Amino acid sequence: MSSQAKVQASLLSIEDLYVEFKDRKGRSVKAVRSVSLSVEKGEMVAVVGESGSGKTALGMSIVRLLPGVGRITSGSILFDGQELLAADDRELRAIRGKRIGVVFQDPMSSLNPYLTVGQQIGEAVELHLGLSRRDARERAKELLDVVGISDPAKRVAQYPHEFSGGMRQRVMIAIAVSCTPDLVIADEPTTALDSTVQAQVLDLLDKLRARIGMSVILISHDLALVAGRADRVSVMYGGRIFEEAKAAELFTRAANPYTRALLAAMPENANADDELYQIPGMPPDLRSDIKACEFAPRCDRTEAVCIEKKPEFTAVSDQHFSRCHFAGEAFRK
Amino acid sequence: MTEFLRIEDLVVRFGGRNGVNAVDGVSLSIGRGETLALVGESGCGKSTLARAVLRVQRIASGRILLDGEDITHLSERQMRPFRRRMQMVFQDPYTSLDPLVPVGNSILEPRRAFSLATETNELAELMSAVGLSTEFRGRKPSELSGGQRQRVGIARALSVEPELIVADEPVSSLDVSMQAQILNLLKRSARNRGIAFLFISHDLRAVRFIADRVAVMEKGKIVEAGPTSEILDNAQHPFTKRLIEAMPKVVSG
Repeated sequence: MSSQAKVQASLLSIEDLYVEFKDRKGRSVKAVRSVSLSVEKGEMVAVVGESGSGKTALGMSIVRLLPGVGRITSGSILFDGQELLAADDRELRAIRGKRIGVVFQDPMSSLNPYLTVGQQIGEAVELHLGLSRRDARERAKELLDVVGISDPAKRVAQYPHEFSGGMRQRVMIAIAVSCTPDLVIADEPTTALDSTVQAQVLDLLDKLRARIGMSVILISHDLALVAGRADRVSVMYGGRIFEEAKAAELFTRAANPYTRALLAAMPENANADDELYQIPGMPPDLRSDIKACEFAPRCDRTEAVCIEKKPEFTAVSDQHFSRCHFAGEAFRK
Repeated sequence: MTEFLRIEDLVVRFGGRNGVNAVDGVSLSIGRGETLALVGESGCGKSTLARAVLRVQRIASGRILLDGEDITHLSERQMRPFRRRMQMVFQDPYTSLDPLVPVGNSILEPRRAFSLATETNELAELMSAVGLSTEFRGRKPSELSGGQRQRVGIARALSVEPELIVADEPVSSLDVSMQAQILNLLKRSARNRGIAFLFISHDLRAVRFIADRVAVMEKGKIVEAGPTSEILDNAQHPFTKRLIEAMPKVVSG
């Protein structure tokens, strides 16, 4: 890559990524199918989808934290010009936790119950920034303050069980941003939390994004949650991205029938009969190769062509793409 | 609407004399066929209140009346006939279903426990009422999706023809599309069967859809209560306003 191209390149650029898992009977499950996604510097990109859509597999692929039964079968993940799929363990360790932070859904199972939160925050800065144990502890206190935990001098010596769910997630965020990363991947960071705490945790992520100038990939099943926050949204279904648009446009002019169905199913959108829209049927079986449009069996717009061939990811307007044979038409409606 | 559940000045105390009142003088009532949503943050006492109503939580003072009868101090044996009339739906049906028992047996188990006669088509009717194909009758909980397991949980609750259902965050762990299905099912079941329904949630979007009335709980006390639209569109209490403000909003066209 020429140096000039590098200047203009995205912070993260995923191209044609495939991820496979083995199920309990040893059959392959193709969880991510030809996904391309880019994230610019300072941008918040939301990846939205239901369970089994491949959104977590996509997120974890970036930092190569797929569980043992998962592997990336092909594609490219360029991070700041470096091919992560070609990186060895040593190179990866220098990136993970330092330049790319991760916030998981359940802080209780990702924090170590036997170590104080100070030790766990300190671990990252000792390892990556070469701070002494003492400086690391000071840094941990500062970070607790940054993520809005009061009385950091006392809290730094406490254990995860002494924190509420929302506070634990703040600790996770403190660890994720401890080395001022370029990118944070947050996988359902607020799903287990109350609405009020959800809003606080997302506000915090947003504040830190501006402060550090980092990018964020926010993975969620809840369209409404990402609505007011993300710059761009990618909607995943059956291992593929079905629609991608700027957030404001996605929510006002969704082009893809799947996105439209998801929006219609939200509790604030009850119909005249006082019922919520139900998407019929079940998500596709990802063990098989799907020749048709993955959403065709559940879609209200299905025609013969949907079952005969896969739809392309079609531009419907500037920076707005939909994977649908009728992409342009749905958009005009 | 005839009143079915009445709670009067209920207190649940944790930690003895120097403890705290997890539920601190709560009075509420729910009519037959009415849905009351109890909203608040985690730790506010809403789940404790639900447990007290079902008489699985020690009550310090106050009264619980079911269909006009005071059940506050009934012995376990005296409670027995009332147990059938009040059922619970849990947040996580996975941990509340026996992993070894096929779902068909699971659904009928409460009927057997209360020695109710079971017609041959009982199971098929229950499964159809909650939108589960009878093909699923032999499956284990681990073979079902989260939404399907919640349907089993609801079928179990409905199986004994209850007059009160208490559901504690029944859709919180589900995807949006599953939430829609379960919320429709709960709403339809409560309306059609005239069940008094206590719906506990922190999600005001779901509450707006399902509830006739809302009670807002903070630190063990009800701080505001009234018809759903009145509370959600014209909240008076600062805590209610804070809850509403935290609600994610979508501007859709």
